[in-house]
Amino acid sequence: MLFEVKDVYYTRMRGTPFAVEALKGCSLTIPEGKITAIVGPTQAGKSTLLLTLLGLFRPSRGSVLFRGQDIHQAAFDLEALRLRVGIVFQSPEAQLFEETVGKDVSFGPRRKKLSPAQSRRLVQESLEAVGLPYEEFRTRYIASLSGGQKRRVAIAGVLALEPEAILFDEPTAGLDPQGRQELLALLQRLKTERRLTIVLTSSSLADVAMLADQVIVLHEGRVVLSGSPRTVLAHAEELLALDITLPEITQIALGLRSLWPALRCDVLTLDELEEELVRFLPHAASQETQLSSP
Amino acid sequence: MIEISRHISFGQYVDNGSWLTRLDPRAKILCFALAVAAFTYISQFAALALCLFFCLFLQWLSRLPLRYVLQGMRMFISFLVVLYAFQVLFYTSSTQATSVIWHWGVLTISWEGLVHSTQVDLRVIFLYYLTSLLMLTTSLVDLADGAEALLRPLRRLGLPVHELVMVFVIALKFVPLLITEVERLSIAQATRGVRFGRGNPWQRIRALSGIIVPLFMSGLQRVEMLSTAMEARCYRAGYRGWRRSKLHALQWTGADSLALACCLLLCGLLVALNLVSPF
Repeated sequence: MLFEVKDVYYTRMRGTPFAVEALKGCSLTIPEGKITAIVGPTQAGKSTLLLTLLGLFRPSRGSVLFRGQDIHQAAFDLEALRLRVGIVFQSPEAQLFEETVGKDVSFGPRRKKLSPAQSRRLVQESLEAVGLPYEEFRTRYIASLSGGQKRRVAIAGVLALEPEAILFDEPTAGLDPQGRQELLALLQRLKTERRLTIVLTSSSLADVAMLADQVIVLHEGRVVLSGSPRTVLAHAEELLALDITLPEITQIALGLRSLWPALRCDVLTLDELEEELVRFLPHAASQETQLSSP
Repeated sequence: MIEISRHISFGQYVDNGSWLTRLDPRAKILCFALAVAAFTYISQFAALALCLFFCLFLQWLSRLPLRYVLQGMRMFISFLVVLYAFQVLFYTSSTQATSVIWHWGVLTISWEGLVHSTQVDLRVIFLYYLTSLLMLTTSLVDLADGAEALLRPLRRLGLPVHELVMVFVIALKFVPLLITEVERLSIAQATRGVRFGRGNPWQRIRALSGIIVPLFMSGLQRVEMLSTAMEARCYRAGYRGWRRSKLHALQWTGADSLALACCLLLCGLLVALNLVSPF
């Protein structure tokens, strides 16, 4: 287990009239080398959870373990944890603080006191991994980039730390369908090529159902469901009640339930849905062969 | 370091529907000005005690958590403590002979110095409390409208009242914005290995210095965005023949007159007490 969260409570703006209880007894585990999706409606505590994992917020109760060690113990080196586990925030503006792309991406390597040659190599690799040509972007000003490019620079900045895991806060929010596909493909690539552990949050299961190995559903600071995407999708109606967007195929299956109440809705692909329908319409299969035969 | 906004309440408005938040801003500003004048005038402990009671009464009226208000004053008070030490050590009285307690070179601790500095600093604390309470219980729009209404006569003298108030209000509004910005930058840098609030003072200052430049950059960007947004909504302050209408017209009620009367009474009492009181 990379992270273990045990019964964590956290109140934002504690001691002020604006206090919000963000996490209320949250317990979960994040396995190594897998993609974990944390799904939940707004205000579920997803972003707070990510910042708590990195020790940026100190829980008022409960503990966070990284590889079995409590991260809030005096002997634990939080700085080292943050260099090993990167985070990409929801808006890239929340992340980028240097003037130029090159300076921002090299911030981490420079903090690690790597040699200029090493740091240059890391910056080049990271920028190219997110699809930004090094020579062209190195000296560009952050302010002159488009929103999608800024997001990629933010990811490159985290990759340059050579982390073991990356946490993504709502990575697909505000992207067009194509940008979303590209980003999800990048996450998949990071997992398979660099063997990174990936944690991402989302308010929709549509994007993450095909990608994630494990889905954790958060609601009002507590875990309400967890398991493989299929296990979670089996509770489709509960998810709808929580305002979580379901994958299109699941939505169709859920709609067809008015005809066949026993229809399974934990289907992810069109083929699975077809198989499921054939179970209920035995003559449909024969009809299809009839149609295709002549 | 990461949750700074928790500790700084300056410029924050808490809309809890208390009696103080519902007062007309004009009444509040007038009362505030009167109280500030009276608090500045007094110099006796008896009058200062009355100030304390008045502040406690206001605190009760505001229905704000006392801890929250005091938390916001923490930084200011630590600054004041340093100032207090200087005041005491370098106190010189020209009029009367001072009863010296301790003396070393130019540094002196005298009984009069202690008393005088305590009085001055208590006054400053009360003034700071009044200011923060005014901010905590008045929205910026109200504050601006109130100030503009009260300063309107000055327009006859050719003073651009509306513009001045607008500049003042925007400046105030930027305080919490800049604090959130510092928070954002420190989180962004902490996630890439910078550690705040650890190490020797030099390391701490070095860690902070990395925030200053991006803070200015983003502040300027925000200013530019704000001016574009204002222009896009056809904001033109001093344009001839244009008059801005108000969404919420100010209404003076009986409660406002009562507040003003109470405040006048208090000021009278304070001045009288200050003159009569032997210490």
